Amino acid sequence: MSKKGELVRRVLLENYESYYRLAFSYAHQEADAMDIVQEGAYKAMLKADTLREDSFAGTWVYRIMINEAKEYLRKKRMDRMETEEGFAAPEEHYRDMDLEKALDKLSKTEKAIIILRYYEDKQLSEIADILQENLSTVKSRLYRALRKLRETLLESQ
Amino acid sequence: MEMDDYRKIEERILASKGDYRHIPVSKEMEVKLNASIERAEADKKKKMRHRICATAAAAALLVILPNTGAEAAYAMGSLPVVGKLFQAVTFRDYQYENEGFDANVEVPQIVVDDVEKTDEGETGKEIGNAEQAVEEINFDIEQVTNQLIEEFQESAELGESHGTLEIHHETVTDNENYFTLKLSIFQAAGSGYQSYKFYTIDKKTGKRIQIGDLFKEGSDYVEILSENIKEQMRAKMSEDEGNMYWVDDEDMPEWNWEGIKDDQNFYFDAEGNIVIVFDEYEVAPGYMGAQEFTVERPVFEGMLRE
Repeated sequence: MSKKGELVRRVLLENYESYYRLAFSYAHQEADAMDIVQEGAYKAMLKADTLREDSFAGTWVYRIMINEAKEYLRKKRMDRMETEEGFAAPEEHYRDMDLEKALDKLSKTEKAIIILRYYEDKQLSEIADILQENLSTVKSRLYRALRKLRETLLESQ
Repeated sequence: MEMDDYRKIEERILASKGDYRHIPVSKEMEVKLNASIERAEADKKKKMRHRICATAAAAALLVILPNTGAEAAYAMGSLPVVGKLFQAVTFRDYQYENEGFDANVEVPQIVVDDVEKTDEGETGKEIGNAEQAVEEINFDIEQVTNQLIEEFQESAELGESHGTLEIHHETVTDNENYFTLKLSIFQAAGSGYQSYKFYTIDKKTGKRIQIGDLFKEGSDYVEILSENIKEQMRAKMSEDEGNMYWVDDEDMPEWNWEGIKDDQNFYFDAEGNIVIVFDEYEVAPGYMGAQEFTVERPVFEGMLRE
């Protein structure tokens, strides 16, 4: 295994639980969450040698995982439309179920920002690196997401 | 929304942190993760064998060339090594138009011409570098554009009122030394945002480069280029009161442009000057749009790597 490959492998093994929870927050199904992490890990390992700087490995793998989750869900939604198969009941884990539902109403990027910021303790600058966006864009997206959450939660009261 | 409301909603989110962190991770996950890693390594080895074959072909070419006379020998000694090998092609075309939403997206991929087709005397190492650089750039383009398309589709589906996504590409430099692909991205939902990505390959080594790779070790290119651009900004502001750049602003020092970044967008124009490119809002208010500054060759020529 190449040096970069070894590095990415270590990042994957150290953080797979975080990737799984993030994937699960989108998919709400154990099997889907595992598929997302597996496919993301495959891509990251395959492309490990294209990683520019070792210090980017953490944000780079996160970006691949988030993209994988988005892509996976889009494909799945399209398959379902074709087969007219119903959605399986989502598996939920929050005691604050209203909040969990409100999070699902956010766009996928907004949701990623909330999770990374509040549940994974990432700095906004790190989130900007992960999403490859300006810091100011991330900030305005975060405030917008908080506003949306508040509106949804006020309605559900 | 009041500051207090933000705080309350943040507190409510944080109250579920424990539940989030306790989402049970499937026991099979680690096993499956390792299986994915092994699958990727196996597929990579397959590809590597393929690459070694290509390199062997290039090596064979080298052995034959010296026997074909002075011209071939001259060609071998002459640079650039990787010749005119790179080309950008539209790889994915995404068009969408419906009720206030329109997208016009051309996603490029760089392709490297076949080794056998060229007679410039490439060596396997440069071709290997070139293939890796191209793979890296193509993957980056794919990730960036996928994400933008995804966000666009999502805002259309969420029933927001309107949105625009435009992505185009252009080869801005293709001379004996460098190949540069420019990706222009325009996103709008209400206000618009123009940004760019520039990808440059050094044809002599086949490697992808950033601006710092152009200059000799230890040279003060950041300071010299940045100061040159700041001078140009100052000149433009004094020329026309409507021009505004974030430079020397004492009221808002944190908005001032800090100088050339490691991953600064740039390209060489036809005269060999360096053009520095800024996204909208990067060095000036939105009404100024995206900005380009040309730094004349004499300013930096002495610092260039041989």
